[in-house]
Amino acid sequence: MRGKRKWIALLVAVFMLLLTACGGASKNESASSNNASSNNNSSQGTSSQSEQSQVTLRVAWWGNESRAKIYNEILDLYEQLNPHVKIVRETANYGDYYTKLAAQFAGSNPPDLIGMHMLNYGGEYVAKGVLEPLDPYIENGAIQTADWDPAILESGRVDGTMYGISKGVTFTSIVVNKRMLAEAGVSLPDHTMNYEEYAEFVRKLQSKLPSGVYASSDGIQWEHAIDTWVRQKGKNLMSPDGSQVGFTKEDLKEFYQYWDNLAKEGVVTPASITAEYKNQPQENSTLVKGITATLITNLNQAKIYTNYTDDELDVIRWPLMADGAYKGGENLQSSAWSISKSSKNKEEAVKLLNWFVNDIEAGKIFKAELGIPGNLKVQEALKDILHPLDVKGFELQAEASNDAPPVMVRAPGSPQIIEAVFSFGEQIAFGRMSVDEAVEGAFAEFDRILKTR
Amino acid sequence: MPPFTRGVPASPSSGSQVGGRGAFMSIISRWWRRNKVALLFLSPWLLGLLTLSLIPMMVSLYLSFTNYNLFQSPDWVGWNNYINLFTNDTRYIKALEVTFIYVFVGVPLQLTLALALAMFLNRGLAGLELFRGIFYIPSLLGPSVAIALLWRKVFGSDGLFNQLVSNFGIEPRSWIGDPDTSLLTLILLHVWQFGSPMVIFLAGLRQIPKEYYEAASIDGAGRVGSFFRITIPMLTPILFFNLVMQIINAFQAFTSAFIVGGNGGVLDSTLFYTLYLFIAGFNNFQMGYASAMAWILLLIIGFFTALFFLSSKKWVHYET
Repeated sequence: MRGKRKWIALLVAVFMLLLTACGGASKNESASSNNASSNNNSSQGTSSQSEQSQVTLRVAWWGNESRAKIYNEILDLYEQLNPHVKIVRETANYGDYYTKLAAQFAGSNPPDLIGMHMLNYGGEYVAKGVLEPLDPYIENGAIQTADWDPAILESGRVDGTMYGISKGVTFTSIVVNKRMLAEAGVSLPDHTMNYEEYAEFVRKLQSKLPSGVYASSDGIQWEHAIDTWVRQKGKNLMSPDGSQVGFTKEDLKEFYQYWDNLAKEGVVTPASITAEYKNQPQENSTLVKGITATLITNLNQAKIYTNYTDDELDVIRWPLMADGAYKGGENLQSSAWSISKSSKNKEEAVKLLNWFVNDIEAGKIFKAELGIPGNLKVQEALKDILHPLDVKGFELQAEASNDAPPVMVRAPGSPQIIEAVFSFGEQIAFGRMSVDEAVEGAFAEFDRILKTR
Repeated sequence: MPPFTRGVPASPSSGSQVGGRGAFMSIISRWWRRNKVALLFLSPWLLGLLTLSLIPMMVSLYLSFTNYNLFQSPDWVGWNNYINLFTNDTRYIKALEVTFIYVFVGVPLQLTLALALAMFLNRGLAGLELFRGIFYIPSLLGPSVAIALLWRKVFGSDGLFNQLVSNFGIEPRSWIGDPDTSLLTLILLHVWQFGSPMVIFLAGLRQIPKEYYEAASIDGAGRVGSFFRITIPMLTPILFFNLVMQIINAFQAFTSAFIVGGNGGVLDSTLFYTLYLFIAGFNNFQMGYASAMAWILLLIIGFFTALFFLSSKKWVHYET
């Protein structure tokens, strides 16, 4: 009968629809650290625990495999101590992390506890109004800050309100291969080295190095090089509201000139090598491959390089500006925990945040992975077990907090300005533009960026 | 009884009484009755088409007239995005340049190689199946992240390619890191995926009747002559197909450029159109701008496709 066939057809169609829907759902159960796509797991589930109702927290951070192991260990420990909490981990490497995060916010589906690089992205995300202000939680004691270094704590403040609690601060530095230095017969510069002395140091080093090896990587495309330079001149990359560039053509010209001179003398890696090694992981860096004797990078990364080379490494401070408004210019880069404004589990997320940054056990597992911890007691407890380069970092940070201007979080739009500084720096490095042309081009590009924001 | 008999048509008297509207409704209801089941089976696909393609496309068209940073609601700006792209954005022009070079150098090279190898394989050598399979593998793997990573290593300063060419006296250098050669490495990657059009050419070659060649050789035509007078004209439909498909494909290339230089490569030398679109949308949070770029790409591809179709009457010979 015709009626029966129609019903069969209907049944088959419905069944096929269900099948495709079910196929997707089963993947959502595995919440391993390699799961890069965000899953809608923040619903409350029933649990066998009788004490508190089960809470699922979504936690996101950036990093590679070895960092994921560390985070997972800490989060596993927290789950053990708090059986009613289940933590769903989401991670991506730094380059993709913010793209993914933006998409999650756009889909109104952000994680609860979010790794936030305050310097680079704090301004942007605060301006978008998607982060939870943390002052109330500090005031009512949910987040303990009594034992904190004030400078590190304040690095999480944007426009007067606290939006991030630091997991660790780092700043720009220079990692040095001591073996190569010893072979070249050059001694390690001390912490008061300024730009002239740095230039002399690398020139002397280069004269003793074999061909194909360079004294340093090129600073012209290092984002913190330009940032530090303008801060030492008493200025900033951008005005706080992001409406104007904060430095002049003269400043940029001097910066480009300084690094271009070094490049022309063959003291830093040539353009094509810089290009090839950009954004490569540590194991593929020019330092590890013996192409450079020193490497410009962030302080907290120094210990990572020791994993990949047998040579002894040391870390020295970024050059000071002898005649600058400030001698030091390092901007504290705080990798912080923030909480999304739309999170349904703020109390629990705050609890986890507080434990993560203040608990000694957690601190011992984290081992200053993202830099110097804010809690002084944790710093003390770590001194014995930390990598010597990290301990050196504590010293450098203490010095920098004396002679560098206060931390200023970058205004929204800063990444594009920095990109423009790079791309014109690259033109100079490849000899396609003179310094003056590049400065003109860069400022034209700044105008364009500011107009279209 | 047959399952899908036609419904009984409305009686003429009742239709004419109600007028045109009644006839219209009865046509609709008849169409519905006849096609209900088909629609039911099509519904999953239709749903997908609607929600995953059509509706997002319409939203994207709307967004292209706005400034949208993903966090706050879109802000209408009219034609600004389109105007800014062409008048105010040197990187966009560079992206157009790079993409056009990639498409109009890469595709002809790829198709030439594909045709050459198809002709070679068509001689009926032993091991045809094996070679056809091997040549096809790059097309399967080609546009993937893994191969792009491999490519970057191979053409790097300490890569395989340098080891190879140093034997011929060419100085080793970083092919990826040099703005003059980086695009060439990507074009090479595209040409390397010749397998897919090659297989199609091979099928086309097989269909050319041998009698034509025999007749031609009787008339004294040499190999070159019969190639240009018989093979090429007979292959024009296949050539047309491959050309259109590969050009549409090449305009949308993304993965290789993203891996080799996620930010457009050295001096933007590998800044493919789609890569710049991605950067504008996801790195710079300018979704409206990126949407405008997407629609312009649609127009560009549509333009060239239409060009090929319209000109095809002149140069494509279908066997009637």
